[in-house]
Amino acid sequence: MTFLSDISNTFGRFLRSEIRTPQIVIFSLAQPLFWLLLFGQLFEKMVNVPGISTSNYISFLAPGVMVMIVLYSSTYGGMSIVDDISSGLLDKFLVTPANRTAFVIGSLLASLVSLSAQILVVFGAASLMGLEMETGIAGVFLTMFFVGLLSFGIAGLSKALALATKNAQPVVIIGSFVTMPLIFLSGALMPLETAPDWIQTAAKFNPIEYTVKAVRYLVIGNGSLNDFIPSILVLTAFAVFGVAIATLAFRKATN
Amino acid sequence: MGEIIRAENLTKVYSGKFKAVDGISVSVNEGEIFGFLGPNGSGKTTTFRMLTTLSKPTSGSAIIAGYDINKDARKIKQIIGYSCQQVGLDLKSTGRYNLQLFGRYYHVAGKELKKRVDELIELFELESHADRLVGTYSGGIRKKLEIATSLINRPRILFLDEPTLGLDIKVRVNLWDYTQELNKKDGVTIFLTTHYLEEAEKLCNNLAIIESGRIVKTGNVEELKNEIHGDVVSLTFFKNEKFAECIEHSRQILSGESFLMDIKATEKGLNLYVKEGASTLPKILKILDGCGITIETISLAKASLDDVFLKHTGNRISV
Ligand SMILES: Nc1ncnc2c1ncn2[C@@H]1O[C@H](COP(=O)(O)OP(=O)(O)O)[C@@H](O)[C@H]1O
Ligand SMILES: [Mg+2]
Repeated sequence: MTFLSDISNTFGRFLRSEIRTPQIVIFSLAQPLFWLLLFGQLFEKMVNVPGISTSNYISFLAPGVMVMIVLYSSTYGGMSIVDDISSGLLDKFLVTPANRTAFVIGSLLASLVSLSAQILVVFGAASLMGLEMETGIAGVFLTMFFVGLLSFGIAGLSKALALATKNAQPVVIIGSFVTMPLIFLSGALMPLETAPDWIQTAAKFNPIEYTVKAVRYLVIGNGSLNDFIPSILVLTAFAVFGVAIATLAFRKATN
Repeated sequence: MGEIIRAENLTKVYSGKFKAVDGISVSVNEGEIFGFLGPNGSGKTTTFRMLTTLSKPTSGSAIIAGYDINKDARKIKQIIGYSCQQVGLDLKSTGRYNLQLFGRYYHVAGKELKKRVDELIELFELESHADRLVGTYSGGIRKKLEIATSLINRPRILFLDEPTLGLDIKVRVNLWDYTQELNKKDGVTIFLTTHYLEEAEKLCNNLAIIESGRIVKTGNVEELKNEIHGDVVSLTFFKNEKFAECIEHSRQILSGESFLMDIKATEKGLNLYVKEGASTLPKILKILDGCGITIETISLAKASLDDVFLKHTGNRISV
């Protein structure tokens, strides 16, 4: 009971601080729209490229934009904890009888809220641009679930890094260093079928690719159930890993 | 009243070699205000972090209200409050929200939480600030709120780490009043750290002087001051090539004098500890003059904690 209340207390605090800055809310909702439009225009003619089994590039692109959103919003998820360490707030929290893990989980859950809003914006806008959701509303929820798993994994790693270094800078540097390669070593924006072998191999180790595959399966029925199952396993493992490593780093940093 | 904190040989080693805290043993009685007086980097915060269960000692132990910091951390958390050296608040929320946030972490909820929050807002006279964002507060108000948040669970022991660091004197005096009231009215045992002598002198019953992770002297504040006896005559010399020689020479010729209780070199000259300053001053001048020693200034002061500090560490705490 107290564990849940500790989570909800932390969740509440992080959520408040996210929605307290309307500029950030507006910007974070505008960003997916911008990407959809930009990439949509850029790659419009790609429907004839092998590997896109849809007549509508938007349906192909929307899942890619979703994972990009996760990457961009979760990579810097560790930074708030650095602020809390240097402001002494974390110490004040740790001196209470509240559960430590609740702090990590609560803050991760709070970031899911804005993430979900962003994903819904993509769904909404992409529908207007011609996306047809093969799996309907259930698919939307499942998409949220996969995207959430990816976000837990990435934000967990980001938090672990921030906690290990107690510094926001490595998070920014490493975050911006890996974001682009992770996107291009996956089929987020372009189908991997035409990519060089080494990229296809690299993609097998990329959680982004697994998310894209799963979401694309839900949106356009692309691929097969045999692709879907590994995605579930890999992403669940990745999320558990992210939470575990963040919790571990949290415990270590607070000793 | 009995002992409420007892630390034995607390030690914290960072990176496998640096001893931030080097075998601290200390005893605090229930109901008193106890102080750690020491310069920056002497290990005060590190000791507090161990006592408040925030950090595990590398070795040593401490018993707080009967609970072992190495074993009963959860029990200890329930009965202590900790006001940290930094801000320790969510700047993007209101003061009231901060109080509620910490209250909920202590699993106080509903009507009881509301009551406690209102009580603390009233106690610290924060009514006109409680519903504003903490980011807009002045340093003094922030500190008041921060101390209030550390009282939400009605602790028996309150740890105050540098409670008035960087605040101006008016605010400090105000915070001292709150601290004393908490101690007197509610009987909260207070353990504080400071590097302000006035603060230690004004608030503390007992004091430990700490330097480089070790306690160099513990005792009752009055007794410590009495130990220094009477007055301090400070001599300073011109900083020229004869500076060291002047100090050494003066020390030699004054050492034999019966009025001298103790003598210590300082950065700028010498401190002479004497029973009665006013009548000794002319004697000192005459002796030095007779030996042809030129002094730059001579001044007389009552012995303060600073002199206690100097005597035991060889350094001055105030700059
Ligand atoms: N987490 C840490 N890692 C390494 N060194 C530390 C750490 N925390 C404090 N120190 C060092 O330990 C010493 C004592 O610090 P601290 O306890 O903060 O002193 P004080 O509170 O008396 O100013 C300082 O030299 C400080 O740099
Ligand atoms: Mg300190």
